[in-house]
Order: sequence, then C-alpha cells, then structure tokens
Amino acid sequence: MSIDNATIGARLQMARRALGVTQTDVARDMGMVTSTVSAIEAGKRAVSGTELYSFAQIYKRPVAYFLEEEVPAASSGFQYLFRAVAEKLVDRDPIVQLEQLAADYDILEEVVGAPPLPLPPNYSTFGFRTEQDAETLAEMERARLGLGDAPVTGLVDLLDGTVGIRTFLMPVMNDNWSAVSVAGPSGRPCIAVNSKEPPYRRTWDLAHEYGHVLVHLFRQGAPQARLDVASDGGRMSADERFVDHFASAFLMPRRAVFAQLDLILKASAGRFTDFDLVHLAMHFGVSGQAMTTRLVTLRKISRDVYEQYWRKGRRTFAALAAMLGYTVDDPNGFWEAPVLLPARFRYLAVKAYEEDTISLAKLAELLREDYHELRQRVDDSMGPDRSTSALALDVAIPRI
Amino acid sequence: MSPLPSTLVLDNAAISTLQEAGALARVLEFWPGGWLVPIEVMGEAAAWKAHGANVTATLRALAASGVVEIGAIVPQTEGRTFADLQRTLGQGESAAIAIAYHRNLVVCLDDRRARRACERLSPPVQWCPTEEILAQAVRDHLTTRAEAEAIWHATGIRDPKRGIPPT
Repeated sequence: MSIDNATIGARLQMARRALGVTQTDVARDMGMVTSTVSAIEAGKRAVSGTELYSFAQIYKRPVAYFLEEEVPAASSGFQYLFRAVAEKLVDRDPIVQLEQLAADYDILEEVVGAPPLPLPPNYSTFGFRTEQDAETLAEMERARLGLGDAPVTGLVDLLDGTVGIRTFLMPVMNDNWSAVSVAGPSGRPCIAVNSKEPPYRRTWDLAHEYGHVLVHLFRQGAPQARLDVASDGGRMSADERFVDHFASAFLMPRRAVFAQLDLILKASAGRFTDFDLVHLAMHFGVSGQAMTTRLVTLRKISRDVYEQYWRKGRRTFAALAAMLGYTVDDPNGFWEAPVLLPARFRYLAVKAYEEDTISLAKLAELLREDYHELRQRVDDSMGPDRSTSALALDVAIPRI
Repeated sequence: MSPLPSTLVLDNAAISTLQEAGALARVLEFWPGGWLVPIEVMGEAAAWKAHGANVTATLRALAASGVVEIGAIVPQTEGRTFADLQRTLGQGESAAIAIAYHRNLVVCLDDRRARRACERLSPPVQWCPTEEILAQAVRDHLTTRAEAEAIWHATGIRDPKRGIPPT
C-alpha cells in the first residue's frame, strides 16, 4: 500500500499551521525555497524520507504522524486551542505535545485492551452558575469520588486515574500560560498544567480546569477547549469565577475548613496568626492566597483582614512554610521541570511492555525517557531467570 | 564484497550495544559498505544522554568513508508499513524493519517484540541479533573468537540466554 503525496502534504500543512509558522520560516529551517515547501504541502512534489524526518523535527511530531492512512479532521478542541494560542502569542509547543500525549493515551488503552475510564456526569445541562452552585458541585463530586472531607492529595492521579480526565503536567516556556482543558482527538477530556508552577499553584489550576471540564467543556455551543493565560489582567468571566469557586470548595471543603480552624484556634487561644494560616493552607495543599480567599468566602475573616494580610508582605509564604517544615518549591526546580505523566499512563505503558505488546524503544518513547537509561533500569529489575520482573507474582485472581 | 547475507539494516539497540563495548567502528569496518543506518535510528542514538554525541560522530565519519550508508524510509512506498509498526515499536526499529521489508534486506535487532513484528510481516523479514554479527566476523576470519568474546563481554549484557553462537 502506498501513501499519496497529497495526504502527506496535507498533514505537513496541518502540523505547520498548528505551530503557527509560515512556509517561509520552514523553508529557511529546511534549506529550501518557499515554493518547494508550498509544492510539498500541495502534494505536487514528493517529500523524501530525509526531508520528512527534518519536517517532523521542526514540527515536533513523530514521523508516523505524517504517514497515517488518511488526513484526520483535527479535534475541534485542539483547533480552537491552536487558534487561541496564535491570538495570545503564547507557547504552542506544549499544546502540540499535549495533542500527541492524548493520541498516545488512546493507542495505549487500545493495545493493552484497557477500557477507557467512565467519564464524570455531564453537568453542563444542570444550569450551574452561582457561588452556591459551585459549592454544591464540589460536594457532589467529593461524594461521588468518596473523598469525604479529607484533603486532596495527588490530584493529577485522582483526575486521571479515577475521574477519567487525561491529566498531564508539562513545562511551558516563559510561563505564559498556566493551564488548558480540551476535548482530545477521541473526544475524551484532557487537562495540562504548567509544571514550572509551584506545586500548590498547580493543584489549584488542576481543580480549576476540572471545574471547566465538568461544566463548560461539553456545553452546547461552547468551544471544546479552555486556555488559561497567566496574568491575563482584565475582569474575570462568570465561567472563570464559577470554576474558581468550585476549585476552592473542592480543595477546601467547608466542613473540613471549620474543623481544622477549630483545632487551630483551640491550640492558640483563639488567635489566628500567619503561621496558623500557612499551617491551614498546607493541610489542604493550597497557597496562602487561596486559603485566605476561602476564609473570606466562609465569613471567617473579613475582606479588610484579607487585604491587610496581603499588603504586609513582610515574610513570604514559602519562608513561613519552610519554618514549619513544609516544602512548597518543586524539588525538580524551575528550569528542570519535566513532562510529568500520570500514574495510569505509565502503568498502561509498562503493562504493554510486560505483555510483550510494545518494544522497549516504544516504551521509552511513550514515557519520554532516554532509551539507554531505561534499558539499564529494565536490566537491573530482571530476576536471575531474566524474566521481565524480579518478582514471581503471576497468579489468577477471580474477578469480583 | 560484503560476506554478510545482504546489507544489514541496523537498529539503535545494536548500535548502542557495540558502542557500550567501545567497538562500534571496529565491527562496522569489518564489512565496509555492508550497513544501512536509518536516519530515525541516528536520531535515537543522538538522544542518548551519555554517548549520543560520540555515536553520531562515529557513524557520520563511517558514512563519510563509505562504511555505512545513512538512509531513510521512502514515505510514499514504505511509510505505511513504518506507521503500522510505530504503533507498538520505537521509531528507529520501525524504520529499520520497514526498510528491510520493502528492500528485501536483513535487519539487526535485539528486542524480541521487534523480532516478532518481523516474523508477522508477510513475507517475514529476516533478522539477526547483535551477537550474530560477531559470530559472522569470526566465521569470516575478520576477528578471532577471543576478540569477539572480549567485545561481547564489554557490552555488559549478562543475559545467560545470549552470547556468541558456536562458529
């Protein structure tokens, strides 16, 4: 079976447009004249294998992306995102990366034979709009997920492995967008949050995007994507205010905040200090700002106190947290922020390898890791009989 | 003329195994002109944090002297096979197998899933493991058994099921 030049050309054009570069830009990088790029995209000139490899490098796509059977219609969510990043002039590479991760996730589920997780109810028809609605939604989701009033730890894996939203952390250069939510190529919702942000900020952004997925992403007539740009300035839309309230209520449930506050006040003779605030915020895994805002919403402190607190600025939240023994900075550091894959994605990839469905090189590609280092780790994990695992556990367990 | 059964298409696993042993150039120079390295394999080799720069410099020097050919899949005729293989194999393995399949060449592979993919194609693609290259060099009197064993030992591969077959 052969692939015609028009199909390859159309995919090259899609990839170029997604990155927002011109034919002239690409021609310069490829050492070609613009008309050659134009002819290749139009299917009038055959692209060679070496050229295709170079195009793939420039467009940050695997070569196979250009060689699929037919030109698929890009998901409307990603189309919207690529347009949005073009308008806001923000970093596009992570969006391309997210699209690829979402496609890889679909393939992984297929090759392992793992059914996709059930999605949360579509709340877009519930008419949720107000602050109180956001509280209600947060309580409904907490109840549905069996979280009770406990603090949420490991939100990436909760969203990805339980809620069924593909969830990734990925570095965004120049920090110019903080989070996106989008309906992926298979229609499944995906969230990506900037891994360069501090952990408590990422948790907030994850909960914020979670709210968008629940209520806005599949709303009739709404774009199937949301892009949250850092320091957008301007006034927040009603949707943004709603999901902020949802994030706040989901991460800091009313009853749990009251209970913790009560414990703190009993221990400090009714006084509530900077350290108490940091301790409370760290209990829920959120920033000081998110915590104080929640206390204002719950009418535990006044707006005046809130503003007074944030005007002081004498000691930073991180420094206070450090004195209490909390780490608020990412151990990976700002510059080394990697793509962080959710546990279920890694699990499916390793299962596919264990079941001999994918090769080690494919596993390295999926995990975005150095093949050689991975090969060493696999060698180290092998038992004396050179089976894939050093453990002997391989038993049939009856299904419940 | 190459004593190999045909041009051998190299995968990254074979290249990195020989590089680990410090014998990449030595072994490839046994059969000048007998090797094809897909550009996708070059890319994978280059991504090796520890030795990527050395490997690609060695391969480029060998290409300049005609020992290896650096090639690429032909997208229009070999691309579909490549894309199908890429669903479960690495980019380099997929390119190496697709090229071997369409050009009736032998591919050097160490991953058993990749070998199985070769066997599933119709007609199947002939493959050989890295150690077979060393065995062939001994058979062709291009090296001694002792040197071949020393190279194999230096690869660090300790799998008892693998080793240089009897020559």
